[in-house]
Amino acid sequence: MAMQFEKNSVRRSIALIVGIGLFYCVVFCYRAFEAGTLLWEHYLKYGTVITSGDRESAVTLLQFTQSVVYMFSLLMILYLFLKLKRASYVILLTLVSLSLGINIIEHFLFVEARTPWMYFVMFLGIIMTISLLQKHIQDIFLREETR
Amino acid sequence: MTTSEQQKLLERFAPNIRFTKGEAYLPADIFSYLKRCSLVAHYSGGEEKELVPRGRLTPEELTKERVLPKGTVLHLRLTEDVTLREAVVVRNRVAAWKKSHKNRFVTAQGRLARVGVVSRVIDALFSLTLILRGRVPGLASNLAADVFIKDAKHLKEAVYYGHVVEDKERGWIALQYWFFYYFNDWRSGFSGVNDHESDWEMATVYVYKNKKGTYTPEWVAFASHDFHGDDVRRHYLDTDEVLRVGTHPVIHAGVGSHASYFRQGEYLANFPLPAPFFLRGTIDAFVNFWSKHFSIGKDHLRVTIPFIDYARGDGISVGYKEDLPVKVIPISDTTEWVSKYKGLWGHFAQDPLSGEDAPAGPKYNRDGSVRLAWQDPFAFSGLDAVPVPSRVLEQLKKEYLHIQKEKETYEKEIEVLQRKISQISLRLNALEAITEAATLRKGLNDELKQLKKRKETAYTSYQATLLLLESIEKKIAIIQKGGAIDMRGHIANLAKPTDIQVIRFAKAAEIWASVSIGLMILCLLLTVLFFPSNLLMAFLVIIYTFSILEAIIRKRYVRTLSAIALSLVFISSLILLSIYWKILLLSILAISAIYLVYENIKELRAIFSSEK
Repeated sequence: MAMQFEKNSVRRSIALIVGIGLFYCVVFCYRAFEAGTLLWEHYLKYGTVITSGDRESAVTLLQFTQSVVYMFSLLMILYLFLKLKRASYVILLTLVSLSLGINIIEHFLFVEARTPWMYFVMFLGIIMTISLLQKHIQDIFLREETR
Repeated sequence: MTTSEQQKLLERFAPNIRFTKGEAYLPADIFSYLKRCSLVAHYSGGEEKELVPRGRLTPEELTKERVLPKGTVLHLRLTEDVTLREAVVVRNRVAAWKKSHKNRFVTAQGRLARVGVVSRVIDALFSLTLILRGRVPGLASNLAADVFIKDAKHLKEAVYYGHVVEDKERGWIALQYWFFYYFNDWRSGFSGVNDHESDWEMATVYVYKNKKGTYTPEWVAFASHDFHGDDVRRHYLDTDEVLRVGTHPVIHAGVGSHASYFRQGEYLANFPLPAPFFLRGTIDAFVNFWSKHFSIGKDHLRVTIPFIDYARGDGISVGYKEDLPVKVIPISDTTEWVSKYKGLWGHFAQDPLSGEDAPAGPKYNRDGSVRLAWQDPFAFSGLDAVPVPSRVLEQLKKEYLHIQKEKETYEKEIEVLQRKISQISLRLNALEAITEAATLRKGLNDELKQLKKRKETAYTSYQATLLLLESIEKKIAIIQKGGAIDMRGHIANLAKPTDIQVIRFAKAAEIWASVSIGLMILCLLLTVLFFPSNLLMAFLVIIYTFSILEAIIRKRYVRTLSAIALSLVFISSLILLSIYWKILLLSILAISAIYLVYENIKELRAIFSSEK
């Protein structure tokens, strides 16, 4: 009975992680494309991706980075889903932490980046991190370490 | 018990002490120490007066009645101020002695390389506080060592002080051994917490009189730092923990600190950083919540300062069949220097944290109150709740009878409750078809619910008594067969010597551990100079980057990453709260309102259905 409950809660948690991850990724594919286009245009115009003192291009670069981070997380989620491997867990947690860090930097340093959308992403990041840090999830993915 | 019986017992179980190479002191007698000291009064205004000069201090002088103003601290002074030239001569003499006696401390992996970056920052701050706090002068350790080496030149035996306490009610006898050292040079000699003149350490062997009338040793407790309670006690027969030579348990003494350990090795003592009292509750609640629900242990969420106690046992040893024999001198409340002198046994450094002040004698704390270990050696190691083995069976049988009575009471209660439940069910059944009895039915329904709840509680307690009876029966059977003793059931945190951590690129990691904090402070300084507008953010980025680098070296990437992710979640949540607190508040209110409506409708439905 306890075993069954444990299995169910693990399944639920993995489903939540994968669900949020997929949701993230679909949106971020679009965002990465959008920010990438802007950066490319900037590059064609000035010869660099980011110019000193140009806050707008800096924000775009940050958003592009974050979008790419989540695109990669899609791959990780798929791998995670299929293999339950330690490496995929570690990379996924790194990516999510990195994204949360970028969100925090955006919040404190770039007023123009403070959109409801950014805070929504932050909210999703919090839920995803908490889901990943749950004991039973870590027990499954970091089995070698816990042993 | 007669005095000679006490003396025999003290000698029979006197522990052996094995020191670590580099140790300059051995358990000594207080009389030769007193000859080297002056007695000083430190008045509340800060001025000091020498009451008895060096060379004239005797136990009688020490315990002489003196009328002193309120707030005066009476203390001894072993070391005196010397010129730089004299200090260098003394230092060289001590170093030459250690070399000639092959008694030099061998450094191992440094303590800083064994702990994380946060602990190293705290350690740096702690070291800085020594500049502000009162402390024992740097030369004192060499001067004290020089004095002891001179006194110990013709030493034929080490000296222990023995104190016997009987607990007649429960049958225990505590054989308490007090060890006096001239100096504690843990900080200056071995990167420990503190230095102080004089050091009192203690170990206790607990025996009881068996049915044959002889004394059987059962437990051993060693004092290390300020720890007490069940964790400092080991079973005398627990051979993995208590090493013995004949009947004598072996102490592995920490070099410099003289703290007593059961197993030889190096002990990483992480002293938790004290939090302000108004934050303690919140911090504890946070740490408990996270360690319960998420994979980050309590130890990793607390900030600690790392110190190592080296108890390698590779140096000189004293005791039965060791390098030097011991003599046990009995002491008690009637020993004048024990009871009448409440002052400090060395320099009063005026350290607000007290770590650098000399300790008081075996009976007293620094503030003049009686030490728990002296007053109640049984409570000191949690033995006040444990009966002697010969009485365990008798007590278990008594407890069995007591629980059996409890069980019968619960049986009766369940029977009565069941009868009432059946009665009310019958009444409800009879009222089922009567429309005008709705209120009566509701009342009976409520009563039925309450009775069922009470029956459930009584049943749970009844089950618990059954379980207890079963386990006591088993325990009695084991004891009657002379079965295994639970030697470690009482220990919550078993002190273990640390393994040398697996560190990648060992040499580079040691260098990194030594320079990283300085490097980090430099980076922070550069940030202040060049990016003054984004200080907080830059600080966070630098600290996180250093933590990640550190984690990779220490093979602790996942653990560190989890902690970083946790802190990011915390910061992000605060940001979201600060922006969307109105929405959050409204959401909570809305959810509460919906819940209230739902509960009320549920109740209404129950009434309607009972009316039908």
